Order: sequence, then C-alpha cells, then structure tokens
Amino acid sequence: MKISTIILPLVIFLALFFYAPFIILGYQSFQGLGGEFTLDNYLALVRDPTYLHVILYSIVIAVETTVITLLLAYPASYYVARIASGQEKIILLALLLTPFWIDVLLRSIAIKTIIYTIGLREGYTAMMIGMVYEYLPIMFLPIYASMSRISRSAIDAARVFGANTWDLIRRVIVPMTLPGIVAGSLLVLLMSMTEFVIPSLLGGTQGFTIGSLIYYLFLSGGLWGVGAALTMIVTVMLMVFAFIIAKRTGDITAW
Amino acid sequence: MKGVEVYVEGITKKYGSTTALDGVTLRIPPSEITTLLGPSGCGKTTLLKIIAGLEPPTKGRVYFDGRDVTNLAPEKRNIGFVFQDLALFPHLNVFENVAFGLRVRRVPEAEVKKRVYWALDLVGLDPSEFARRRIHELSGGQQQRVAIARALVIEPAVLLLDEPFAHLDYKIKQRLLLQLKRIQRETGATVVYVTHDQNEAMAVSHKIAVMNNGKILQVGSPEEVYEKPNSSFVASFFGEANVLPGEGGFIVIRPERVLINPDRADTVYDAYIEDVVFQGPLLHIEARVNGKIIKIIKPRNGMVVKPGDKVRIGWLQKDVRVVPE
Repeated sequence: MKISTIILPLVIFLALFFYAPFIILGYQSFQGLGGEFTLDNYLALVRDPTYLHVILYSIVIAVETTVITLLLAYPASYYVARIASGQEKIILLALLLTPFWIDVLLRSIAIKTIIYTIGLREGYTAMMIGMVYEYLPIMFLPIYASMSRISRSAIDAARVFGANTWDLIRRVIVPMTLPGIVAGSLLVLLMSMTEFVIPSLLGGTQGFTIGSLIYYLFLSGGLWGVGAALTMIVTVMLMVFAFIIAKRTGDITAW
Repeated sequence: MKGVEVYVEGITKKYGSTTALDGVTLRIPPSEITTLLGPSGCGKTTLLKIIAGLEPPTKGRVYFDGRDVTNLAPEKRNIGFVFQDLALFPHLNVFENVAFGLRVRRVPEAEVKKRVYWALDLVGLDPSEFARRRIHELSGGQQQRVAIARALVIEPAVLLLDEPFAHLDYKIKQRLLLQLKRIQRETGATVVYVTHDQNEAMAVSHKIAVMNNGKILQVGSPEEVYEKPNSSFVASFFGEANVLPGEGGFIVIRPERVLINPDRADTVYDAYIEDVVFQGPLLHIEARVNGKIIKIIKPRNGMVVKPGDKVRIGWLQKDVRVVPE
C-alpha cells in the first residue's frame, strides 16, 4: 500500500500522537513491576470481577444511550428531512445542532445546574440525561443524511403500488435508511462506551465507567500495567468496530 | 385484464399563485394507449399524478369507470406507475422490486413467484438470469423494464408512464416502445403515456392529447392531430410545420406537402434554396421566400436541388389548414 502525499500529514500526526503511544502502551501492558514480560495485567482484569462489572456497566450505559437517542433522532430526522421545508428545515437543523458545537464540559456543568433546579441530584438519571443530550446530534446526522437521500418518487412508488403507512415505513423507509441507522448507532455506542466527562460530573456514585476506571488505574491507583491492559482491550475492540463502520460506509457509497 | 375508463373533469391545480392545470377535462378510453403530449411545464406530469392520487386537484373530479376516486388514496386505486426517474428500490433485488405491489397486498408466496416471473417474461427479462440481480448492476434499458414489470405485476386498472424512456438511446427506446405496445395489446390495460417527444407519441398512441400552459389544446388520433391541427401551436409541436400569416389567422402547410417546381399548384412563389440537409432517405430543404424560410421535406430519389438554386415552390389548397391562432 502506497501512502499518498496528500494524506501524509494526517498520517504523521496520528502516528505521533495516537498510534506510537498506543504501541508503547501495548508494550507496557505486558510488563510486570520489575519490567519483565508477563500476562498478569490481563489476568488481573479477568480475575477481579470488579473490572468485568465496570466494563459491563459501561456497555449497559452505552446501549441505553444508543437506544434512546435512536428513538428520539429517527422520527425527528424523518420530519426534518422529508416534511419540513424551506425556512422551517433550516431553523430546526440549527436548533438541533447548536448544542453540538458547545464543549462537553461546559454543557455538563450547565446540565448540572438545570438538574439541581428541577430537584434532581447526580445519579443514573442525571447521567443519562447528559448522555442523551451529548450524543443526540451524533445519532441524528447520519440518519438525517440517509433520510434525505430517499427520493420523493421512491415514496410515491411505494404508495402507488399499494403500501399503507406501516408498509411504507417497514419496507421502504427503514431499509433505505439502514446505513444511517447502523452508522449512527455504532458511533454513539462506541463513543459513549468510553465517555468520561459526563459520568464523572453527573453520575455521582453511579458514574464509575470504563473511563473512570482507566483514569483511576493510571492516576490514583498507580496500576499502570493493568490500566494499559484495559486500555488495550477497549481500543482493540473499538478498532474492530471502526473497521466495520468503514466497511459499511464503503457499502453506502456503492449505492 | 380489462382496463378501466378514466375520466377527468374540470381539473384545476394551483401551486400558490401558479396554475399548473386550468380546467382540464379528458376522457381516456379503456384498453388503449393515450398520450399526454406537451412541452415541459405544460402540466402533463401533474395531470398524471392527479390520476394516480399522488397530488390532490385544487378543483375537479377523477372517475374510474364512472366511480368517483378523487378522494381515494393512491394505494387504493390499483395503479401501475412508471416514474421518470424509475424510483426502483435500491435495497431490493429485481425480484423483490417487481414483487413489491404483491407483497403489500399479502399475496401468497407461490402466487408472488408465478406473477413476478410472468411480468419479467412479459418485459423480456429472463427471470432465471435477472431475478436475483441488484438494481445498480443493470443497464438503463434493463432498469426501465424492471420498472415496467413492477407496474404490470399487480394487473393495474390503469398503467401510467411518466416519460419512461426519456434518457435512453434511440434504438433501445424504439425497441421498448414496440414492446410497450405489445404488452398493452396482450394485457388490455388502459395506458396513459406522458412525453414531450412527438416521435414517441406518434409511435405509441391510439390517442393523443396535446397540452400547453395547463390546458388541453386538441385530442385525437395521431393522424387526426397531424392532418387537422386546430392551432399553430399544435401544428408546430406535433410534427414539422410551416405556419404563415393568412386569411382569418394562420395557414399551416406540412413540409412534405410543399411542392418544388410544380406542374400544377394553387399557390406558387419564387424561392431560393437556402440549405439542403441529408437525412438518409429524406432531404430536409430550406427555401427562402420574401425573407421567410419555408421547410420542405422530400424523398431523396430524383430530387436534385442544391443551395443557391432558384426554384418555384407551391402547394395545393387541399393541403393547407387554416387555424385561428
């Protein structure tokens, strides 16, 4: 494989700040306290059920975030892409996307204030409100894009050939937006799984996720080897998904 | 299958302040091909969509065999529609695209297979070769046939086609037009065909309705409309025509009726040959008379004129048609 010069700056940047550290981290994950080769760091993750528990808990939060954002974003994207027109569409898109541009830390602090105002405290509900708020635009955009690509006449055709509303949704709209659903869901699932800021700020005692765990292992617990092993596992998992997304994206453009 | 008679009565369609259709009334006979012919923006596609139920008329009624269907949803009208952009479903293969109308009608699987294979055969696509293909693997002409098969498989009361062959090569278009006529004969469907192309309209229609500016100007068989245009617009839009100012409006004379150096003619002018264009068996000749160009079409055999020649041209009174506007 030849690396083209137009993508070279990006490759160097990522190599320097992501892939090189990642390889060093991989190396450290197989090092014992004395610098010798060992599998203990990985075995520690398996032996202590606390680690597994935290990983599963993070997955539950991620899945829940994915499902809620999907249920909220899907009908909204249908409306904005296919029913709203002209000015209404522009206003709705701007309103939906504005929160996206504001930094996650600022948003979380703002949500904290709101949550206190409505009488809630840090905990699972507060955290989920924050998560949905954070990831809604990321779910919305790919679905909106695939929704916009459905031609008016494809829907007319379904109607004319006898499809009622339910058939139309089930046989035409959902299958034709499937690439967007898959892309949005994978993005939200993977990004929310390692989310650190929102659970820390809004989760209270319920906010201990993979992100918090890695933070703890490196900075408070001094368990660098185990932290490195956990990071490796999570990153490799994300890479596998990244390849799936890349493949799906390729499939979409083949349409 | 027996086609229905479609009757649209006083159809007006307005989009805001623009009028797309202005009081259109038309009887579309059962089991024939009727063409809506007109330039783009004349309202022909809008009329087709109103017949299908995809657009509600602002005013007027639509009847199928005397039954008022104006407020009937499109999915309840039993219509076959071939869209201008085909609108095939990219996520379904050829078989499932054709089967769509049967699936939503909850037709049993065995029957679906039988009907889909029948429809594919009818449009000349071998089911064993094409059924499992993806849409984007097909050529333009093959996609066209899938779209027609999808419209025919439900045995529609009316088959509506919106410029279905507009983007195809001339030869493929000719072949599909013949195929459409054969399919119509075999199925007995009522077909409404929309086009801006006079050659397609001549090739395919039992009946032509010429439209302009949201109105139907003339309805008749291709021969009637060609021989007896009722306006200069119809004369020049349907076939080539010389339209000259004359007594009580305009006179229309078809290019093939113009005589060169005639022995006998009712009207004769001196003319210069301006241009001669070779068109296979025919010559397209332009002659200048008092600063005005007269189009002439003649068979090539025996015709020896060249640019610059001074000739006499003329015509017989019986070949002239007088139109008011």
